[in-house]
Amino acid sequence: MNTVNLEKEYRNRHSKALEKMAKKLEEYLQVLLQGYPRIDRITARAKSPTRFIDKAGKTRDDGQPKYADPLNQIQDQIGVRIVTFYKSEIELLSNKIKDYISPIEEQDVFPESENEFGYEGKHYILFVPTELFTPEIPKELCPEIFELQIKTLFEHSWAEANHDLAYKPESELTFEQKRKIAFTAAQAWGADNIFDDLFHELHKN
Amino acid sequence: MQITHIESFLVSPGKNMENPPDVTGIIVPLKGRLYNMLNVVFENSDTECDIPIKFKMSKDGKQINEVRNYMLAFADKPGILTGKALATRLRDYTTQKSGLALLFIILGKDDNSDRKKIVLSRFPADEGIVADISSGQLQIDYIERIFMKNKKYHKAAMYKNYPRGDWWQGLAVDKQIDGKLNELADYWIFDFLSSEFITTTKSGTRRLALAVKGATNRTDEINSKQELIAFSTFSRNQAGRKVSITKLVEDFNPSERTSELITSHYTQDVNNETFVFDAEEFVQHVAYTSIELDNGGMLTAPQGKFDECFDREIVDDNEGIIRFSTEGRIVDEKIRSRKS
Repeated sequence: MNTVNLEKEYRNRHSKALEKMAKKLEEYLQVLLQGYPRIDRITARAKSPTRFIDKAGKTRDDGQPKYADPLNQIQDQIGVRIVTFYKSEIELLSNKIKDYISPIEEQDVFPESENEFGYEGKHYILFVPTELFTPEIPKELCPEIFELQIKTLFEHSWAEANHDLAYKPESELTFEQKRKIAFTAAQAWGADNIFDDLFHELHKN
Repeated sequence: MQITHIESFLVSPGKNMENPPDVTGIIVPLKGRLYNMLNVVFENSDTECDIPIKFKMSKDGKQINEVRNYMLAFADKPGILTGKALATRLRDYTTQKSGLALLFIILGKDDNSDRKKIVLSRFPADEGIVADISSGQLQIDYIERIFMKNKKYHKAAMYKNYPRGDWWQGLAVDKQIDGKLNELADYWIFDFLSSEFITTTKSGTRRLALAVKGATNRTDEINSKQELIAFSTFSRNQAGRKVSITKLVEDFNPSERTSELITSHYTQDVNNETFVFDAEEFVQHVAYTSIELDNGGMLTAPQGKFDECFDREIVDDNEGIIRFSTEGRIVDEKIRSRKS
């Protein structure tokens, strides 16, 4: 499928299925996680056609397309984020979600070496609960899986600013700029850990 | 969709054996009586396989599953080599009690698209008597190793790469699966297919509870309300059993109106999904707690308020006799007006 047809196809599923399903998933998770007071937000989105086409066009190191069948292979066409106050809430929420929604992937995302600081979070690829496939969402246009990210407020803020600053196609960041980005990541990591310690100390009793 | 390839493997029990018997297979010709029978199995698999399953992720949380890889390899290059990987795995999970079987692996393709479908079907070995009349005389003989699509023990699975094409989920049938979890019945889905129900224990139970709760909220009919309370009590006794909303309603057999109230909350597909019932999860959502006494009396109160509504007094501890008491004004005008 060429890019023009792929974009046309994706725009069709975006409006007919993905946006509707994202809304349903957001509502489903909000109800499921009612009673968890330290959640800042639960949001779901359908990947925009522009970002989908960008991702579909990516190539591997050998120059071959990364996705032979982007409509079936790109798994974050629907993405959900849960942002929590404290680090230890992530595990709690993860366990609750796994009790109700089947995963095909569960990954703790963190920097590769102990000397590095960068994004941390819990990422899942999960099956869309069957009851959300109501007749107004054409089954053939909606993926059966979605991506879920669970992260703290600090990690979320850092990731958003980092994405805005560090992924500029026109120029590579300088050494000094990279160090500054890494420093903010370290600050976010430190703040998360201190808040989590305080949370446990103050809520112990 | 046309069948393009069929293989059959003789699979002996090999679980926990140091030197399990080898698995041998043949390619089945795409014509003749055996083909006709397998074609029916292939076509009926869409309705016969009705338990939604998904492959398990790897232990380290990655999107890797050995059986899915075997299935992808077979779909890509059907042959004895790729089929044997599946048959060998079945041997390694088959106990002596499950016994000898023939495994059929059937691949179908659409002529004009990339659509593919794979059906795995296990025919267990049986023994029987063959009867024939030759020269006007009845001849009977004992035979073993008859492989039958046994209604009681039939196991099958079906995977498609459409309407969505990632091969992560499929449908299974396991006639031994009704009732409690047990090793004999579970090896097909959980061990051999390295899969699990798509509907988790808590998710399925929550749906059932919400269907009952929704039904209760949608009716003012006293008969349906009573039946729904009784249905909740009946459901709570299914702890640890494999159930579906459809099956529970069939087993309880309430009035048509009450059945409709329960089953209309979700689509038929959702109602048919199998899950393991979790009594604790159920009571978190159901609207009422109900106690039935051996004198025929039934006490009902909103969930979590039962002990507020009724006082309990032990009359005879040894005999388990309890006196319940309550007081209040009658507020349900519908009941009073019907009586008057």
